[in-house]
Amino acid sequence: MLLGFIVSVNAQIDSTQQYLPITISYYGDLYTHPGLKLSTEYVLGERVIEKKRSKGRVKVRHKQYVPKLSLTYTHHAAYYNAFLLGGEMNFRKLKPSSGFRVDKILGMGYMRAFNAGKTYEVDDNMNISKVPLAGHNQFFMSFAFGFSKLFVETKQIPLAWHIRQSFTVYMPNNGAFGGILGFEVGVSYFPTFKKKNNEK
Amino acid sequence: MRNSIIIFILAVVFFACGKDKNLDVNEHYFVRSNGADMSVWLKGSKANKTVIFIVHGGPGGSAMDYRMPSFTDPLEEKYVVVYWDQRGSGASMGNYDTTLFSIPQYVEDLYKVKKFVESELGTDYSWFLYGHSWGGLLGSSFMLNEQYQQEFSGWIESDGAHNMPLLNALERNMLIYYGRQELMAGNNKERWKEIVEYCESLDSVNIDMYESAQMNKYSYEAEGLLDSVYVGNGMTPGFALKYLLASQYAPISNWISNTWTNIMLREDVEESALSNQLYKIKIPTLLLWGKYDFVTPPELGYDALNNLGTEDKYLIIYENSGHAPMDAQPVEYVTDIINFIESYR
Repeated sequence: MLLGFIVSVNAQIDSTQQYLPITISYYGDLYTHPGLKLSTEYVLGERVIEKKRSKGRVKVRHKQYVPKLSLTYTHHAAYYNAFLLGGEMNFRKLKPSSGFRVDKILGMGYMRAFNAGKTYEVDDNMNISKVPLAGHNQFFMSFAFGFSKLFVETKQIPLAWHIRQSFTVYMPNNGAFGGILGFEVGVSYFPTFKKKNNEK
Repeated sequence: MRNSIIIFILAVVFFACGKDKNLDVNEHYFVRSNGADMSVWLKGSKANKTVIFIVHGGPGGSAMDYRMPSFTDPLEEKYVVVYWDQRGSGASMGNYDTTLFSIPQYVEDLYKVKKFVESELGTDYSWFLYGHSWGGLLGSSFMLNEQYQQEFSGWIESDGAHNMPLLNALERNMLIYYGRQELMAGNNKERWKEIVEYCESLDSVNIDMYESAQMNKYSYEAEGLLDSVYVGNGMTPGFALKYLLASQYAPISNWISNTWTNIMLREDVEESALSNQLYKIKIPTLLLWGKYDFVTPPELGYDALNNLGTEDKYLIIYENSGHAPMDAQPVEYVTDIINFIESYR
């Protein structure tokens, strides 16, 4: 339903936005508990909004609908090593003149948390056995807000940077749910981008 | 300034991943019991072949919260200390049914963790169980099982909640008693007036769990209103920062789980009244209480002393402590624990 809405909005996408980036981020739960996030995205829909300003100037903003695929790893000593594989939808606002972007992202997916420590099961007869690769399968939902800057159009450089704060809820955990306050900072590289030759 | 910030962040990250001090035993495990993977740390020295097993408070606390240098360093120098995060608490995880939030299940979990640690250390160790606050109720419930208690050389109940209906009545009386004294002395009049009026409005023999939860909040506040209660070094800003940014816990999940666990166990806890069963506990028992413990008033210590089934029982009241004498008067507190263990191990 969500995708249907996006496609129906518009399809007027600047071609430079269509290069699939490879994004790598530091992902820190509460900033200091380290992790890594890999993702890619695709601009699925775009709406150009023009607002007339004084002295005949026009303010141009692009509203973009950008699905993302991401794989996140987060590590907590003595707690877990977790992998989150998910789909996200970035409701992005782009200022084309500077490449500055505001990102609002909703996501969901599958989380596998591996216990960060040897795990032994004790059954009701007090028999003890080691549990290999012990952990838990969970579902997660996330929301993120942040900023990013694209250099593809403004400087003809196939890079962008971003900084985001996210909150992820995963469940079930202990009969309820758990939470991750994730801080992301990283760069995107556009491998298929080719510099325009009309300069000079 | 920028360099200082970078150094600070690196230091925090370093501590987050850093190894502990040089300990004879320094292990971390998860013990799985009926769907819960419970975090268990073993830290300390094997030299004396003695284990002290910490049962933390809450419900919904964390064992490592008790690992304050002034309290546990002297214990780890002599004994193996077991820090167990109970089901739904601390760094424990799992997918399981909420019906497993029950005191009998927690008792079973405790025994399973004990058997696991025994399998790691060997069977030639003396075991002591230490329970604080809710851990006092859980530990007492555990000790009522004759087979279980026989595997321990001693039981240490500190500021324990082994009889909740009695606790509620005593807590109400204590808040009113000290509140009136403070009001007459003109100290913190606004706060004490609110506390005393609330407690006086309660029916002392019929306090429900919501009223009990409100009194619990007032009790923690009351400790802070009295000059006689020493403030410990446990929760310094540095400790709080380290907990938030560099502890082994995931603070957000930790907080959610602990709160949920407290809610799920609340009814079970509020109905627990073990005084008339304490005669079943026949192993040496040390009772430690803060004189100004409004949360679990010291009269509960006398109640345990009068009802325990052992001749080897001792009650020590700390004159300048509230609910956490291990933080307020750690030197005396640890000395008393070590003396007790040395007498019975």
